[in-house]
Amino acid sequence: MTANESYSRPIPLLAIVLVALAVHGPLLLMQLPAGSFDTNFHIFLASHYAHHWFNPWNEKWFAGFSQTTYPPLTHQWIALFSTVAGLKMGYMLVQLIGVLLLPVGVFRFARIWVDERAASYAALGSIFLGALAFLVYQAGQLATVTSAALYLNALPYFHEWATASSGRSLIKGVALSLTAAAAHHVTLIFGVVFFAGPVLWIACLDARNERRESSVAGVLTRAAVFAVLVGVGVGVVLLPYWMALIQHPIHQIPIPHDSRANYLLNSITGVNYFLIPYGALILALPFIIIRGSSIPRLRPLLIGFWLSLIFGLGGTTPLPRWLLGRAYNILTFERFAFWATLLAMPIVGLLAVQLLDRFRAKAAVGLALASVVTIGAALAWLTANPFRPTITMDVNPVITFLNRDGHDSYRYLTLGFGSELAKVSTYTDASSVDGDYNSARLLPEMTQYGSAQLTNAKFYGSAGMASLRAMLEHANRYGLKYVFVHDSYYEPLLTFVGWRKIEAFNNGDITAWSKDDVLPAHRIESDAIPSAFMGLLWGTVPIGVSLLSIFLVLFLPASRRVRTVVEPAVRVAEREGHYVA
Amino acid sequence: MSRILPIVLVVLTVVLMLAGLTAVGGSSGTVGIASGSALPVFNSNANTP
Repeated sequence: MTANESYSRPIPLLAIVLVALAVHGPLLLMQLPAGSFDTNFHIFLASHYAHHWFNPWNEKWFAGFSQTTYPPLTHQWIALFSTVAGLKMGYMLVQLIGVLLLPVGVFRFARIWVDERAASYAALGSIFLGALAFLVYQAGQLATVTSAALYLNALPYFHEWATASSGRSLIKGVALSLTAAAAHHVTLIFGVVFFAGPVLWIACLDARNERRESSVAGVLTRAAVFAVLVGVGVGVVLLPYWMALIQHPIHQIPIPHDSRANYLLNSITGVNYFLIPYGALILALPFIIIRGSSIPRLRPLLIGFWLSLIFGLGGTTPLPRWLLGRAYNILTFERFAFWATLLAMPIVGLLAVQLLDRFRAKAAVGLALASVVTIGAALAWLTANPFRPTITMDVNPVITFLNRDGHDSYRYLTLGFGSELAKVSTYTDASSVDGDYNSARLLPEMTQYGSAQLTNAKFYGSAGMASLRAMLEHANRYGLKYVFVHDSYYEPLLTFVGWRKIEAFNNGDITAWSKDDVLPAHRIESDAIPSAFMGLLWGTVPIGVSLLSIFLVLFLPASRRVRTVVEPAVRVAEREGHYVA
Repeated sequence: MSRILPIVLVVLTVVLMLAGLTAVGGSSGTVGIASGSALPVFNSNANTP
């Protein structure tokens, strides 16, 4: 094979997956995400499933909360892996699976829009996305990444079913969509607009332009069938979640989040939520817009990308607030930037083809450098970010204290612990009135104030401190006897409301405070406790759907008909007139 | 369409950004973060929902 030929061939998918393994495998085995914002949260939920698989009521946070408020799939897989690898390595393995599934999904999704060569470049590029590194290593958004990867793998089946009426594609597409929902419901809900919408649009265009053996009405009918099946399926798979949401809608005072800021007015936020996630893709934006506009088949993809891009800008534009209404203040917006980069990849694949055809080795070097710089910048940002998650304390003495001498018969609170709260909660039997999951909070001392975790109270200004004070004043009600302080800022308040310092750990880095007249904690009765039947559903259906998906993908081959109807998609040389009816 | 669409998207983006600059509260960030007063171990948690 000559050098010219090697640049004009698609990259084998197996090679792309191996590159993903080579890039992200070591980083995950080094447990780099262990210091991310949400990793301890996911491990904490997984820990509960490891001990109480069929009982989603977790009494370790908020004096009791239901884990049916968060889709369980990734946590249950961590729990399964933890039996042989431990919780932390179980997390890394599940994250690695999600990361490996992503380029496969990008390749299959890109094949809807572009030819195999461009799709392979898109898949290869997706390994180096800044947004992916941001979510995996800084944000720790395990569920978002895994669900997106599953969803991207489901969409080609949706496309095949809609255009070629393949029953096998319908079954596999629905199963994978339900698995994606079991991993992260929000991804599926927004994916309908950002991902499935463009796919349905292109299916209709193909039918209208007679590139498929189908009519527009047929495509729409089959899409409706798919949507109904997925809608009903998600209703069943996540039934305990919907029941919990209906029973206790999220009525909290909005909690500020940096991703809702205006990035133009805050340079650090702009770097964090725009420059790092997009990286070198920013240089490709003009090509994405121009090429996406000039080829009719790419226009649905371009519109989906643009909308996701605008949402990913958070509070920089008012569009998300206008369209989402109250949900705007519940969501965070870094995930939209991730989705935007995924939607851009097929067009970026075309750009890579064009550059390689024209500049050969120079283009290969340039693209490789751009990719490495993008993921390298995201990884460097882990230490350069002034608001990075940092682990500067050893919480083991706190865990030891709570687990000895009956201290776990009382509830506790941490102040200044950040996401280390979840680590303490994972390894102690004691219950806390605080927690690191905003949407599960039901205690009025928390929901009536515009702040998130009590452990971070001061960062939410007067609302945070008012919330903390309300909780401290109601200590007797909750059996709250111990407070662990890693920030002396809180000590005057503790002294003022009647607490006294009893012990110091790590040479005074952490201090333990106690209140004398507190009785042992008793179970707080709540109407949010799931029934045994809901616990059984929660423990069987989501994991069962994921096993079914694995079985179907491995053992149910694509029908012969589907293989023959797939035609070459957009090639670089094609121009607008090719597909005009 | 191939010439109009890029212009429409770019203009829309700019208009939306300008609207974001003039919107009330549009520049607000998390208390303590935007003002640069965050300390080590602070985590602007992103797990919602």
